[in-house]
Amino acid sequence: MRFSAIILLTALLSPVVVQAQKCKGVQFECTNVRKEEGKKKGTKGEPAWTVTGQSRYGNFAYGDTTEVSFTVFKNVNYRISLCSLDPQIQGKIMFQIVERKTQAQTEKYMVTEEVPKTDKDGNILVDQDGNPIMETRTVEKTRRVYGKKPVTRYNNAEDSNKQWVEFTTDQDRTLIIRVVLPSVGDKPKNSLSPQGFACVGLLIEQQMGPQAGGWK
Amino acid sequence: MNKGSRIVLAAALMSATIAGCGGGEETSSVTTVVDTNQVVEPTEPKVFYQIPTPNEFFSVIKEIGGKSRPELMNPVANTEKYTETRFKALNFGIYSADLAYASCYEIGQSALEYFKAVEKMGNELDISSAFDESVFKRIEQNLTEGDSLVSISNETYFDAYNYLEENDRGNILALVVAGGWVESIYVVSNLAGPYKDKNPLIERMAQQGHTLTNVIEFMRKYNDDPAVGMTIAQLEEIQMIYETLEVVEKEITTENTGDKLNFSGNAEFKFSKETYEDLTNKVKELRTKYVEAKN
Repeated sequence: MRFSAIILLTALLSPVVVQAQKCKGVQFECTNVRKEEGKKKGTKGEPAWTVTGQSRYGNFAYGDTTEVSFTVFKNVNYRISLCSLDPQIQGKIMFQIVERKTQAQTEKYMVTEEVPKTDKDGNILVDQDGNPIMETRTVEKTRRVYGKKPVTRYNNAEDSNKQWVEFTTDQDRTLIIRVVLPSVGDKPKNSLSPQGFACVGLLIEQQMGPQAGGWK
Repeated sequence: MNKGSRIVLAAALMSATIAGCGGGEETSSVTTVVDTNQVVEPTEPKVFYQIPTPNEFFSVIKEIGGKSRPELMNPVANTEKYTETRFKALNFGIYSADLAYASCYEIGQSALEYFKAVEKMGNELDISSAFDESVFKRIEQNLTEGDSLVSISNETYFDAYNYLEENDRGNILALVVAGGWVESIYVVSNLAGPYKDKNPLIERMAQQGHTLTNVIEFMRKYNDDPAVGMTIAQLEEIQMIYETLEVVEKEITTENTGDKLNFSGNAEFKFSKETYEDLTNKVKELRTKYVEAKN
């Protein structure tokens, strides 16, 4: 029985492993997708775009939503591209760039403190050695806290479903790329089937902008 | 559950581990399968936290200031001190950040020494196969070429990062990332010097709470590892200082200039003299612990 279980496991896993291996490095295919979409070549003398270590690839189920949180730096140009080798979703990946807006709020909280005991006139009471007599009191205090409200910066559904976008930023910030894979038919009931997944690449490139002194 | 179902479920769990071609993260979508007879939709999207490499950070910093100060880097001789895996991994990150600094600021000879230090730590962490032997030659040939050194050191970091991820050694990677972040901030705070209003390096350091949050969130996946848990707690002490910074709220705007979007607004963080000193002292304290291999 143990042998047959191993055979069964191997049979079940092999397509998944093959799928995983095929996926590796798929983000670099995104440059080809951009060419097909008619993205012009860079102008002569323009600083090169370099791939950042924040790029990703992975297998995801059709219809799934995932988010990638990444950091961008002030005055650097960024290019985000999404791609897949799966013909069923090629060119159909939906994505948004979202930022959490920091908003100040006043929050009330209770705190328990040890304070010197006082009489009705406000005089501190002391023990026979002259030390203040302490008592525990719960008091309400307020503090400033910062809430985070998501704001959509870009939605490719409102931009002809373009699979890439370029942007720059006036300060260092954290952005979130929300990636939604289209649902392609029904998910198979047994999700071990690799047909239920698509390999997706997210390429994040950067180019030092003129303000950063990179145009040399 | 019958025996057949158990085998299929075991296969599901195992494939969840293997299918993530970038390591543990991509497995999330697969692990939504809880039984062979039904597919459970995820309610919350899975979030992946990404961190800029030390090279990306130093490339930006170099454009606004700083100079080459090799004495700030962790001496290569310290590699002998690291016997515990935790300190090997943290200092792998520290030496990687030093290598990035040496490359960006064109400290050619140091780049070669620091590559060797990174390689030594890598060997001891059993990730030597991530390195390509030809890299030594390429570094020697490019000692005076800052740009080439930057790409070589960036490749080295990528290779190690990918190797750890793909071999399910995320706990080691978490420590490497933490060490790299602490060293990068330590070097920049020393380049910036004492607090001064309108110092562009200090202004940039104030925004690095963003990166720290992603570092900590990335590490949380490996929180079960005591070494990672301890390091997260130490980084949270720095995060608490970032949370006390003055916040200047600005209206969020996105301008479309045709081919490109311009993102502006949102909170801008500012140091006071006190918060800057708190942060630099805490970073120095933590960095000293790491390079001296003290918990």
